[in-house]
Amino acid sequence: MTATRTALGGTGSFARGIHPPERKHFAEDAHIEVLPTPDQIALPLLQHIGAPCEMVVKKKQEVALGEMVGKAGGFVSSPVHASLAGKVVGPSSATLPNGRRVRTVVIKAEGPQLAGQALLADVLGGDWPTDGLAQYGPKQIADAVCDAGIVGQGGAAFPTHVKLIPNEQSPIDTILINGCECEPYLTADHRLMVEAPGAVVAGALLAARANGAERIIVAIEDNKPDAIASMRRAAEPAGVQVAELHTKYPMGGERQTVLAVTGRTVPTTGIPLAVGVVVMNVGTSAAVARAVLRAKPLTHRVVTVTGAGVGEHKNLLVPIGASYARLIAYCGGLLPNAARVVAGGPMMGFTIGDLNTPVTKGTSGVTVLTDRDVARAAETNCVRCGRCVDVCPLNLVPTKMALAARNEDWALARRYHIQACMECGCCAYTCPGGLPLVQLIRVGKAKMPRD
Amino acid sequence: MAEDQEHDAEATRQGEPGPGEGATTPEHAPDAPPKPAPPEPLLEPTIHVAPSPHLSDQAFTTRRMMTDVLIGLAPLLVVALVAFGWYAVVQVGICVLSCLAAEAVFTFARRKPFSLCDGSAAVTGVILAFSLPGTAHWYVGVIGGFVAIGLGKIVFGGLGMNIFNPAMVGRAFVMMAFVKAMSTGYVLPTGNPDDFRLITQATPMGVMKREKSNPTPSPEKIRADAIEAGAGKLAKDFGMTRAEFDKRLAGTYTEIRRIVTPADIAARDAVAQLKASIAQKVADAQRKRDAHKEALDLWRLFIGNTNGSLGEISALACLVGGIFLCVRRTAAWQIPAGAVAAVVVIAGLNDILAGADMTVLHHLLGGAFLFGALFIATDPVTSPLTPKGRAIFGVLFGALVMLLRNLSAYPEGVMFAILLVNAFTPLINRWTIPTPVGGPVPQPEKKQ
Repeated sequence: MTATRTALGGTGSFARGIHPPERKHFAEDAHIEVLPTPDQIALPLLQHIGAPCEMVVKKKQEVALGEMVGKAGGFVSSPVHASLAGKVVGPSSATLPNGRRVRTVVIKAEGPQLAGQALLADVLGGDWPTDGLAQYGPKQIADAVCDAGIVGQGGAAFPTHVKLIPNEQSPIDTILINGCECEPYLTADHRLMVEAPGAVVAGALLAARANGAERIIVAIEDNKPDAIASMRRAAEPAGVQVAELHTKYPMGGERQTVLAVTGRTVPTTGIPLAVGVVVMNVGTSAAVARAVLRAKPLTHRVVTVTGAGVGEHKNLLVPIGASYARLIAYCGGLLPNAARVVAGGPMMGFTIGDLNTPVTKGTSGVTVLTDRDVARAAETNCVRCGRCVDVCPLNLVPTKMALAARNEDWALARRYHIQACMECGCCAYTCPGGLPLVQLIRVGKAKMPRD
Repeated sequence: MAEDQEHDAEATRQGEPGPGEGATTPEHAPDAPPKPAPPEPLLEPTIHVAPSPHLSDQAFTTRRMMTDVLIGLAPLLVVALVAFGWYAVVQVGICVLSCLAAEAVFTFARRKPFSLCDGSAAVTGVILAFSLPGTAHWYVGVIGGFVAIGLGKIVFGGLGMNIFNPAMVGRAFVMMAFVKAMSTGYVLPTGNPDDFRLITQATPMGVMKREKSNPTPSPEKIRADAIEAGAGKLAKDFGMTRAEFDKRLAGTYTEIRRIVTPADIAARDAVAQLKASIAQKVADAQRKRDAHKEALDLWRLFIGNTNGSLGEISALACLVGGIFLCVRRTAAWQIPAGAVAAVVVIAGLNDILAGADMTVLHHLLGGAFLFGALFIATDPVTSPLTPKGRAIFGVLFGALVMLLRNLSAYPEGVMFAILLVNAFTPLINRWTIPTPVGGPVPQPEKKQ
């Protein structure tokens, strides 16, 4: 990619970063398949950034698909809806992959279920008209998105309606629809863009109508030419632009995407809103379209099951609350060489120990890695080779931050801007000395005294 | 609402969806403590948890970096073997073995794990050997090796902790301990005029330094001076007139005497002796000037057809090995680039303003500059972390080498320049902390 400025403002890339093996071949050609309705789901009442939900159904109550079971706990919060029809078994708890122990609502499937092709058509298929959207007012759209329980599907799970409100202090002029999917192995967003581009475009237009953005740009890495073509076909007639970005990790990180597309730098510890940009995942965009145009809440999402340690590789449409065990069993089960089960991608995903953990709204994939995949060099002292500095996308010095954290030298950690680290993993990936840089930084940030 | 209970029975079952989906079943009697399920037989794979990231660049390890350095040093080894033969073999062997032995002894004494496999001691040994002359005795290598590893590395905490390049610490120690051997000892005295081995020649940098501080006058001038001095002496001793002296010297003096006195014989002998001494002085001066011209021969400096430390003689070999290291990203290219830039500027100014014999190319190709810039200064442990810091480090190194070469009594400044610039590395690191993309972390407002 040449470094010349494009018409959109950015160069299509950013400095540093890494090129890990993409390993998308496992699942990139697998059409989205519907997971057969599980016997039981457990809906976490906190699967988003913000306040947890309150359970509003009683034990033995019958619920329909899409009925609200958890009420939002405040403005920065999001309701939870039943993803199948059945009877509430009762409250319970579960440990999510990020380590948080949260309350869940367990629902047993009962009665006829919307499944198979009918479910796929309901969630992603059919027509997604892009004209006539003026009939929906901005507040109407934001309310519909809030009531539908939509949170960011890229992994961070931030309540989307907060991004759809026009902001007086920081006017929004651009919406970036993030279709980069820079993590190795994951292909859910890729398949969504190939198979349901209309939903993504309609959602983008509705979001722009809600928060007043003038420009809508879909950002896609150039290793997905079929997705780029598919999105261009759907987007261009509607006035939405498609930006092709250089394939690099972590291009999908919102700071890097904003920089690559618009050339604007998001301030450290700030959000893209500070530079007039809102970033939304393609899956979130499709969910917005479904919420406004079809008045349906977020109950299902596409999850990639991939990696050398699982029998088959698929992109599944799964109900929120189904267990990882159910997904893996449907894909041929764990192979004997499976070593780590990662919720998300291998660079930033969390490993899970108990496969009965439920899938949440932010789960983008299940990557099953083998011992060979995760092997790393034996840990030696840092030889100050500087490779971590060469790859850090935020221009930090990971070795100094990590060793300061290890030795609890907080003044040194602060001097090297430890709080600016986004824990993307580029440094630990490259380190020839096998140092657990990200883990040291993570622990350092948590232990550092606030003052 | 029934209280939910933490219950770990499900936690040991993996990979199997069962009726217990969703982690726990809520309706247990509150006073029945949950029993953990008995461990299942290992029919299923064992998965483990670990922090992210879960992938790593398996190709690039510390050991690979060390192997790269050894491969990069191979052309220098070839040149050293061709030029110095057995002397090179013995020197490299002794230095490497002493460094390995020193590392083994010291890590055992500190009760640390055996670390010879990471290759860093071997690299130190080779670099130390390459910075010593072939004529150095076996004990120089052994002492150098033990000081290099012990004082240069282990005392600071081992690999990655030292401030100064260990090989240069060892070299500096033996330089001070065996001053004569290290300064004039490069030339092997054989007394055999037909021995043209490189190890018997003077080193180019030594010759150039000598010429600069003590320039050899032209042979004509030497002859003229000697004749004048001789004329004066013979006039004093024998009362010889200048005319007679000139004729005697030219061999056209004829005398007609009946009796040859002892004074006449003495005068004749004195003139003959004078002639011999003039010839000797002129021949010496001519030899020195030839050596100077040879030392200034750029092709010889480039190829390595000169005497010097084992590793420094061939600029070509250093470039080949050094560029290999830069391409492999084992050495940071900013350091040699900065050093070359500094030398070009300083030597260029020197040449333009003061008209020195040694041009920019002489400084670049002569002595240990390229060896130091490409292999020693680029040691990652003792050089800065950021590209900007490395460029500053390289420029400072080049400037210090030129400073020592021009203004000190030493013909070569690389070793001390390395030690001095290593001392600056922590300060350079501190001065070049990069600003994060997006600016520094905003400080919270101070509360009243």
